[in-house]
Amino acid sequence: MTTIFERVTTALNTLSPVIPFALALYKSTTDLPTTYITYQLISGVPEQNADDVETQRGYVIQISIWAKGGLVALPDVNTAMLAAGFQKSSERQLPQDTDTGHYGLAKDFVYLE
Amino acid sequence: MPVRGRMTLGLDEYLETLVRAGQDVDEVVEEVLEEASPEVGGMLYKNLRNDSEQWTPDLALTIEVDDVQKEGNYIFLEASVGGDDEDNQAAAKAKEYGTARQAAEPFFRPTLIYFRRKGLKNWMARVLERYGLQ
Repeated sequence: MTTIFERVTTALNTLSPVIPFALALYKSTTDLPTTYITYQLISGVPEQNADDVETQRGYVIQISIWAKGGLVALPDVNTAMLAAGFQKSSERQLPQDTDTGHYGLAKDFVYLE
Repeated sequence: MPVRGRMTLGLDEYLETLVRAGQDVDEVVEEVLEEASPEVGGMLYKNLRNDSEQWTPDLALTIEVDDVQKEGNYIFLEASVGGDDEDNQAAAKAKEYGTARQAAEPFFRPTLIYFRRKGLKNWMARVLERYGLQ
């Protein structure tokens, strides 16, 4: 069975040009990349039951894009995630990291299986 | 701005039952949300506590669930964490959404998801039972 994490990594591996990504938190022994992505499971709950058996589960995944150059030109995460069967949900700007200088954009995606 | 979200009750099947029984739907929905309100606050607290690698009671003190509100056809509860203090607002956002150096410890979205998908339905069922409609 394909896990939700496999689905996300498969989707993010299709990004071109390649963008480094990791399950949050992105750990690096050197400086963080100029642009990188983290992903995280926010929620995974049963959506539908039949005769006390779960028939559908909904996952919410947060994809955070971190970029030193601002948020104007970002990797096309939407296309990659939609192609993998995810649906777009809310998104929000994250505060700039004062130490690393990265700007952040968090996007939620929903997957039903 | 604090982390904030709304809980609306969009449960057509239950509402049709109320209409058929001649009940004032708005009144019943308000009743459901009023009764659910303490549970919303309680679950926010529980999720905040359980999901925090470092427990910050100051943030928990900023959990607020407003009285039931009406805007046009919408009847809703509004919950927030972070209050008016900028440090607490930043802490709430960092916990919920993460930062470049901190993974998110989501507590608000899981609470909203629970109540939108299940919690409010449970409360609605209890209220309908009280009205003898369940």
